[in-house]
Amino acid sequence: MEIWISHVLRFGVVAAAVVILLGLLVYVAVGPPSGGPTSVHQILHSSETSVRPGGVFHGAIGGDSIALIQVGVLALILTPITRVAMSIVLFSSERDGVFVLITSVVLAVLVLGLIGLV
Amino acid sequence: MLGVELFFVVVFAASVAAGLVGSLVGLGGGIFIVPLLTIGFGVDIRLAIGASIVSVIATSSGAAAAYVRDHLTNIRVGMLLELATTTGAVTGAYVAAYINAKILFYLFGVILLLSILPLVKKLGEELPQNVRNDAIADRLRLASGYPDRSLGRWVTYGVTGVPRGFGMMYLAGVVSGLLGIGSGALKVLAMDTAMRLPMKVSSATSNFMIGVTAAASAGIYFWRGDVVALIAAPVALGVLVGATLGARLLVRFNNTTVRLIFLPVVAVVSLEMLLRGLGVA
Repeated sequence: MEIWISHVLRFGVVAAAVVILLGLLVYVAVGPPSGGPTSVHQILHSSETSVRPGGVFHGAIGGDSIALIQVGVLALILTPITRVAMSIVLFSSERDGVFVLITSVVLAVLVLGLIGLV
Repeated sequence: MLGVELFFVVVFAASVAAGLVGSLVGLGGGIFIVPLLTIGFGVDIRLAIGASIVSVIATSSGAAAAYVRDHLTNIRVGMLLELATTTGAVTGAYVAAYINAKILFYLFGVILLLSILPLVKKLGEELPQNVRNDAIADRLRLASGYPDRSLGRWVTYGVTGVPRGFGMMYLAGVVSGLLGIGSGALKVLAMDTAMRLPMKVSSATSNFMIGVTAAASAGIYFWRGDVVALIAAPVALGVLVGATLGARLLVRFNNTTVRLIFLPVVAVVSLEMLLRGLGVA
């Protein structure tokens, strides 16, 4: 099971890196998506606008380079969160109630942080 | 002005170097990314922190996999302390939005300087002796053992000072969420000095925890729009490549020599950040 967890970590990081690289290549090959930054100056001074989940996934499916990178970043954030979720399964198979509780609270904090409710 | 493609290549190459040096010195890649982006490329410190926290997840999740396999990581201790680091990281990420950029530079410089101390002192080099488990450690069965390759035997150890370690871990989490770094040095310090774990176990467990701590604040930065895709992409890929190379090279190099070479670099970088915080540079 522990070995399984370390495989998930590796796979998550590699998958996320591939998606991020793909997004970067699309940006270079196709050019910026409509309204996207066209110069280094614009990239460095991106106005702080909040990101919306709907926009990210729609854009990524449509081949929007920036949305693709954002999907990769989300996959990266989800990797350790998945690891924590798997640990709950590990502790419950060992019938370790206290650690199931501790790990569940950690998972709750992570999920709340991810969906921005805290 | 640089072309966009050239910008990607330069940021990627610089991030490879940052990841490489970071993992050789033992501080992780993240700690050099914020100075690199702010001082080197003139990136706003908030966006630099956003890019850095993402790269921290990338490198630590890769490294943690190896340590779990070597049985050095104390997963129970790590899980318990993650309660403290994740809540701390969420606190830090929220507070960061209300803090003046100069203060962020200043804090970064101070934390970077503090991170050097454990490397210089090489604290807890020998195995801790006569550690009595405290009540919480007994109740949660935190004591454990690991195979020590250099000693050639199985080492068993006790765990003490859990409440104090927990408190220090909360602070490490706040620092991580606030500055976009793994704050591995602070985590090792908490486990080494407060909880008296063997050094190898402390480092491995700290690495195991860094990715989860970073994931707690990364979501907040992401939805806030502080993770700029076109900055974060070359940084995350670069640090990942650099840290992987560093881990391979480390086996061949003498740890102490590497540290002696790079510690002055770390000192200069932290002074530079401090000066920015003070508004001199």
